[in-house]
Amino acid sequence: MGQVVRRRAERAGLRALPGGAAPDADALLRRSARGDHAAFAELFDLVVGSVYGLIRRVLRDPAQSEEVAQEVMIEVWRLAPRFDAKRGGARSWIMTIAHRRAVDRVRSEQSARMRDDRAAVAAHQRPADVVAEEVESRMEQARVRTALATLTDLQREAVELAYYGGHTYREVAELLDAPLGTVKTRMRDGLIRLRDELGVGE
Amino acid sequence: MTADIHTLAGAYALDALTDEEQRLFERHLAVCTSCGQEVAEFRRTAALLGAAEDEAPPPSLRAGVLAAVEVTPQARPDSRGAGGLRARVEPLLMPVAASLVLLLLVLSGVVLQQRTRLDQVQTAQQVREEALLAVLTAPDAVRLAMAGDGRQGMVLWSPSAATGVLVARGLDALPAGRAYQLWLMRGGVPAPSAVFTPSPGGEAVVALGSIAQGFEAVAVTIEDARGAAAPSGDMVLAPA
Repeated sequence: MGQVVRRRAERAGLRALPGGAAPDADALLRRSARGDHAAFAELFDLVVGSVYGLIRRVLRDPAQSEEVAQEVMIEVWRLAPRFDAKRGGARSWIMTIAHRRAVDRVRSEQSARMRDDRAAVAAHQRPADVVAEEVESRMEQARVRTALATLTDLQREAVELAYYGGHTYREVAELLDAPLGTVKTRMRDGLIRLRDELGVGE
Repeated sequence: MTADIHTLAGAYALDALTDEEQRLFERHLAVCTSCGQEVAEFRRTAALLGAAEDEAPPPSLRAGVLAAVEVTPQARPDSRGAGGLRARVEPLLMPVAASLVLLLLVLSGVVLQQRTRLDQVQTAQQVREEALLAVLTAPDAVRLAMAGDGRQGMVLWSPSAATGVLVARGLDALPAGRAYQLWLMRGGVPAPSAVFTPSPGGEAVVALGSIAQGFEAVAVTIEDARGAAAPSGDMVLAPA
């Protein structure tokens, strides 16, 4: 216990950054990878809103979402030394871990959710509106909404049911009553469209 | 399936494949550069979809994570890709308590041998063995060490497997009606966990059942054999 207090005290002296520049997620993750607790705390503050928000969207239940978000952030700390910037940015790496964990959790409660979502799909065939409601007017969020709106209905539904709903593409095919091959290609086509609309890649 | 395996890149990046399909596709990914590039771009795209859901978490999350991180060892940079059980267990073995891990492996080996002979005592052993396997093969397993006056202990636990195993040795035999009890410390508050008695040699390997929530330290006290809701005795094993 005393050790923890000591380490916290040491950390307090490590916060100053040369030039006062706000570090980006990549730099903070690289410092976290070297065991820098102060950098990790900053990284936490920088990404936790996105991490928790995504998990919340997939799991819905606030208590479970907090639990999974905690697991994810501890995992980020633990696996930080294995982060490879050549394979994508820190944010993307962290969100990939968060999504995977949320999906793992949701699949353990799958059958009940399949019923819920089938009802939801049947009730209103317009998931874009759901996104529109929940996404605030910040620029990044507006860009995502605009990009989603450029997809065909089937592309958008396939991407959203998989990503936000945590469903496998087989389940998505069942939910949308569409052939497996079609759903598979719509997911890929949808992502290609989103990637280009959002300027990811180049 | 193999003819159009490239088209799985989208579903893969959205985590929309079954475990089996995911393994297949990852084998393909290892040899297909264009899919690798596409998946990386799709992941970044999906991350933007995720970031659009930005929501402030409860304040308790920050304290919980930062406390847990204080006692969570980091993975070593190079062990990815080596694959297999050995690579995953290695980070646990390296820092300390190698002898305790050895004890755990020996005892689990004993369990495996006994199981083939004694069907009637299978249940408890089976639970313990399954917990051991789940934790030892989990990529995210962490180790929390304890010590006290010639006694040693540790808890291995995995957030993804949501279970853990306690290993301890050097424990004295207790009078009838008394038992050792493990406590999981969350934000400095002890939550009751397994109640156990050691072997005649003073050793214990205990499956901890389902642990849904993380914790940052562990301790062991002597309590009533029925277990206690809060620790009343001295710590015989304290966080190391």
